[in-house]
Amino acid sequence: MATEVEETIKRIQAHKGVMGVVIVNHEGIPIKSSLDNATSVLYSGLISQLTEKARNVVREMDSTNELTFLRVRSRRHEILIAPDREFILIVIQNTSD
Amino acid sequence: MSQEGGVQVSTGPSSTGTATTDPSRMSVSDSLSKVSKAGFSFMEARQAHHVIESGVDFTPDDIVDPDFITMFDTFTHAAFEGKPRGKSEVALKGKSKSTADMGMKVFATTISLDDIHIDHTQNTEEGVIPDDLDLEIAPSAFYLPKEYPVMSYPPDVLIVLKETETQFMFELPCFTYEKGTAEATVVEEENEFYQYITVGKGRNRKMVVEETQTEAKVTQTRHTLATRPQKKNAIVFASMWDMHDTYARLARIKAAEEPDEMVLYQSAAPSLLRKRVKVLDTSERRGKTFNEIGAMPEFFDAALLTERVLSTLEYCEQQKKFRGLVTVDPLSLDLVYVYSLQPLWTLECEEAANRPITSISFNPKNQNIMAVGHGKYTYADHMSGIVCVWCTKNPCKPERMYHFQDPLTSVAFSDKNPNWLGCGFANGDVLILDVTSYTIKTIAKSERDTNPCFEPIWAICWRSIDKDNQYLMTTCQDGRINRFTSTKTHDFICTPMMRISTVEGQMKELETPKQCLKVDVPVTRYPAALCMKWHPVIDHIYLVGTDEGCIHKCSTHYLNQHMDVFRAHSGPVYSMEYSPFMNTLLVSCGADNAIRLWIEGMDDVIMTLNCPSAVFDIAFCPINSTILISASGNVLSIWDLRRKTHIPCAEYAFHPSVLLMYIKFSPSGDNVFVGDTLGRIHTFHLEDTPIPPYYQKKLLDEAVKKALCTRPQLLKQLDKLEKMKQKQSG
Repeated sequence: MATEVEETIKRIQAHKGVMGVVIVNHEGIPIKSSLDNATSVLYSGLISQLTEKARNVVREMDSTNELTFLRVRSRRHEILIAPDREFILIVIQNTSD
Repeated sequence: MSQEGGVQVSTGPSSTGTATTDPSRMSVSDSLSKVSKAGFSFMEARQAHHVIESGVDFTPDDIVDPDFITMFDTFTHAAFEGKPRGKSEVALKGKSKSTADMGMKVFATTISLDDIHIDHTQNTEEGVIPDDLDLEIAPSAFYLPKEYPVMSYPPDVLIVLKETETQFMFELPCFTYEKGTAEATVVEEENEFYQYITVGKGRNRKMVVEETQTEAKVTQTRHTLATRPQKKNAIVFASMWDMHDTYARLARIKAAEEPDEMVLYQSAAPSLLRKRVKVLDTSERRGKTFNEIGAMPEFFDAALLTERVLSTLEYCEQQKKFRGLVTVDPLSLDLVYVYSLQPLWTLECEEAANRPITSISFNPKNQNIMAVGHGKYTYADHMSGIVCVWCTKNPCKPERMYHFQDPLTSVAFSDKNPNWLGCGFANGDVLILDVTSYTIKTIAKSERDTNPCFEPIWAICWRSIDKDNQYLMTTCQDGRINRFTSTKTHDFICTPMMRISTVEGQMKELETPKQCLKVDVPVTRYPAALCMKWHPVIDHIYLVGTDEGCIHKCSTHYLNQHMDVFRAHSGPVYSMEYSPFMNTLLVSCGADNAIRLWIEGMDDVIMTLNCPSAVFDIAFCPINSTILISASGNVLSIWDLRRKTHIPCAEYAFHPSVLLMYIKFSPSGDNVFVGDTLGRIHTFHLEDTPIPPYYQKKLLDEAVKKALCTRPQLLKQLDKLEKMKQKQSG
């Protein structure tokens, strides 16, 4: 099972344009990252907050609904965020070709 | 005697050899056995020789100590010796330079303690030979001369012992005493006295006020340096819903009640109590490490979603075409109808490579999800089965992969429960899988006692009886058509619907070359049922195509025989399809390189389309009534009935080694999915096809009638049929 997880991460990283993958646990600590520590910590802190807000937005609109995926597109790259109660999966992708 | 360089060898009386030994020992040794005596005599001769160089005796020592043999007999322990000696005797008597005798002689020394006066100023360690000879062990028979370094041992050793002042480092006085002991009684008395004088009657005693001077206490200030605690600002955000969630969760958890010893519980027997919904609080362990989080299925779901999004970047253009975002302008002037197929992507993964695709099923709820069954193509192949579930949003990797022992032969998604996938295997097993789980999760599995099939299950499809119930219909290689239902007891029971039997004699339709039967009794009585199709209008009727080329029309009301049969092909019938625009039009394709169109109610074939090799699958276009696509061999042919029926309008050839097994249109009608024997699914986009007409049925009618123009009887029949239908409906 553990190798399958590692394989999944490697596969995601091997995709075209992927700059980095960060996995954050529920405490906001990056537990696995392909970027350097400082950047990972920065991403994890900021994106956790954003995810909380986004989750609140979805929930306020419809209490039975819940947030499954979040995409933040900027001029240079795109951040894909897959949140969950236990963890947050962050993938940074370079979209400009 | 020769004199060589000052070396003198003298042979003298061997007095030195055994001179060290006491005469007593000598006498003992004399009485020894003959062997030792012989050794002795040998040694005696040897002892006679001496090597003296410039006045120093360099006679090599004996390798074996002559006393070694007699050692145990002559050895006495110091403890056995009676008289104490004042001084230690170190008697080194001549003979050899070696002091091997040291081990032999034990010196008993007893020094009375009063005589000891150790002078600690002197370093008593110098000159001490660490004497750690273990006297129990026999001395080594082989030795080298011991040479002591020159040192002196103090003749007198003085030892002075002094006691220092006791320094109290820590004191923990005792404040409690065990009841019953002497101290305890004293303490009790004191306590009582104290009580008496403070609270009791002793309070009223004469008291005098007196002043005292307390000693000035000298205090000292002290500074220490502590490290600054790390502080960090963090933003915390709790919304109304977080609080709601927390309270909801607390309400669900029931705290474990501790049984109270005092209260007598009178509760009803557990069987009478209604089931409590509350769950005991199993402490919520939230995963912190990567391994813990990585093992959760939610993580795989998140990775799945991410991969879908990531793959859209790679297949951006293709996805746009696939979803129909790039439209053809119907009014443009340079439209040419060449019916071209634009390849979009190929769904393949290394685990499923080279495994022939036997069946594909699209999810009725979400048309993007499809299940692919991989099995074997030739009879002699030994392959294990794989079910891959792909999503068209992620052409890179299948989202689910299930491995099985036996090759798959058919898969079908259920309508009522879109997450249930029915699978038929090459060994006759039927399984219902739940595709929501990442690992194999079977909802139901057929049992040997109700399912007698051991041959491949060629076709599987779901049918619903009413709002809630549904069952599986399967067709098998041995001609059986079975129905599988899931009962309340979670059994998967198979009930036979009917069995296809060989049709003998002259049949309607095709005139095929008669097979020569040498024997009267044919070998196979039950041909294989290769494909099955439910009638679009009438509930209880279904068609079954066999490998003898016949199509049987059967009903769920008649369990023993078919209602009608006609021979469609001279080889096995591989697939049948009803036209989405005309309920009575059926197309069948078979191994005799032909595609035939039939109209219900008419005995003769309407149209025959010839292909280069055996046709495995055929599909009607859902948006254009006259377009068909067929897969025969490695060629994909697009037929347009409106234009010509003798050759396909367009052909798309694959590599000659590949065989195409499966064709399906997407519901939008623009995309085609093609499965081949190498385990790949190709997705094509249809371009340069005619714009779908408005009167679809009319066009199809016209095309059919045009094909029948050379057979006026059939035209008449067709007219009659139509009139009858109009009468019935009108």
